[in-house]
Amino acid sequence: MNLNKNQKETIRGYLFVAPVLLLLFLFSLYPLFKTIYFSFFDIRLASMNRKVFAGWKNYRLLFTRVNPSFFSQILPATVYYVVGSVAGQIGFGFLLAILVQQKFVKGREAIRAIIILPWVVSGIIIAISWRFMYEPRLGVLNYLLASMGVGNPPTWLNDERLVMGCLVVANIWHGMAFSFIIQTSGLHSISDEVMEAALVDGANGFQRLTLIIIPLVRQFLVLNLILTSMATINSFDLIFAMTNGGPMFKTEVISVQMYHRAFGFGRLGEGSAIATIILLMNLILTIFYMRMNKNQSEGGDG
Amino acid sequence: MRSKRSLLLKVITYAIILMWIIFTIGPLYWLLSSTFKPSSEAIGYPPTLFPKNPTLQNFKNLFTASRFNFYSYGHSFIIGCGAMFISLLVAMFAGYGLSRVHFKGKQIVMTTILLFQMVPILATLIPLYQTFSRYGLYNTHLGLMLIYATQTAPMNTWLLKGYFDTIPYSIEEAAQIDGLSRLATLYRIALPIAAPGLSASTIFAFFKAWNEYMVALTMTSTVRPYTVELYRFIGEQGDVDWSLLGTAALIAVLPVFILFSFFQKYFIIGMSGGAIKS
Repeated sequence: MNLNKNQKETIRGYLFVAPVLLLLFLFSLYPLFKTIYFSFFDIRLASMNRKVFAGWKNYRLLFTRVNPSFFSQILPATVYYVVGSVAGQIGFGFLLAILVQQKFVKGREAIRAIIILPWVVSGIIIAISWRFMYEPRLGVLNYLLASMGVGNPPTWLNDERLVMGCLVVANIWHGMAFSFIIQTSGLHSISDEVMEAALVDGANGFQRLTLIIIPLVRQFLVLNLILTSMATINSFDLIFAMTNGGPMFKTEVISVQMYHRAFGFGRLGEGSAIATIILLMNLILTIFYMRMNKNQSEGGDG
Repeated sequence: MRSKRSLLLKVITYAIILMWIIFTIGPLYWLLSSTFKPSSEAIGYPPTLFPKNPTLQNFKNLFTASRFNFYSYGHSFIIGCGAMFISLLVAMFAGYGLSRVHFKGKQIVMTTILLFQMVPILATLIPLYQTFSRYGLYNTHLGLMLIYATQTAPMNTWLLKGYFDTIPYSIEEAAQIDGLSRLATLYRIALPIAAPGLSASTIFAFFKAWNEYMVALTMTSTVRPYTVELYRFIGEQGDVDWSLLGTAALIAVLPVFILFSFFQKYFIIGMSGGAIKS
């Protein structure tokens, strides 16, 4: 074969990336399309090789089922969980990033390490820790309440009204580090001169925050918002191990429902339909994310 | 007046930071400290902040008396190492190729790899389960290794490409003129220089696998990593033995904490999924 130098380079390039592409195609792209394909079939866990075409039935089932009902149980639970977690993580992440950044704070590195700590712990251990905290009879929370004189302490994870709040707190605790890191690097991107100029001009703390810091780190906040929303929609490990969707479907978010349908009830087709819907949500957020990335590299401040 | 206000500001700042630190450490401390308490004390009333009668009995119980399968740590370790190895191997070649070889469609390949980073495991789990059951990968180390490696490979490719980019190409060119092949240059010259990048990827790929449990729960029946074992432990028993759970959890998080304290920067780069490049 007579190949010129450019062609040889191209072949060489593709040989280098072939292994990673093979891995990604086999274990990510192919199953991804298969999920969409499966969502139009009736497939049972017990007899996986038998597929019966079902049309839109799996999607219809998700929206028409009564227990749990999509519109009055799954959707509110998902929205509550995602909005609560995202708002809490970004809010506290931003606040703490600013506080730890202050010039007078000592031991900054150690404080950062502690704040990030929950992030490197396995989800199952976090679930166990928080179950121990919330435990109605033995938990430390109710002990504290009792010692403060509360006569009738709540049952936390067994309480329909409190359970979602409990999960959101645990999830904020777990995921806040990511926002903290992103916002810290956002604050780093503001030059000292800008802040000093603001001080010279007599801007007070509130003005510095709203007129200088927030506009300058806006991109980081939006990026944070997108990535954290995606991560929260896709996560099911914490809820799965803490409440498993209960009590009374109060914490049955869409990802947990997907798992229950597929592996609890053995309806792989239905699970696939739900996964496809979650995938759509991701796709929308990914498009936003790609736009952001593009703006960032064009703007040159990323 | 001015200094009084700034003092107040300092106090508030420290107070909030301190509160968050207590909030951060509290739940973990509560669980992990039960390791050193006898079962009766761990669930006793009132709860004790420090173990009153420190004991190592729980470690012994975990080894011998409990139904907790101690080999699960071994499974986790093997799976973590395998996932790390596969991920690093493919990412190393791809990262080098993307950094050093100029070929048509390179930009598209790079974006494609980045996009895979966005695929949630949830969206591939059902077909993976079906395929793995059919081809004998269900309940094997290799099956989990492949899934975990797939999850970390895109990020690792980008990380390593970045590290190769920082190495001046002239060193390698000189080596190639001396007669080394492209592969040999990668292995003899670029790899040693890219070692920091490699260690970042190593830690990241290992701990993704070490911490994961939903995929493991789905894909295993007997070859259970410790995370699945922990899940069953709280799921099956009516009365949870918290001090045994705390002990099992402590054994799992201790290596993570130690490595985290040494390689904090690498953890952050890897786990933030490239959002932070610092």
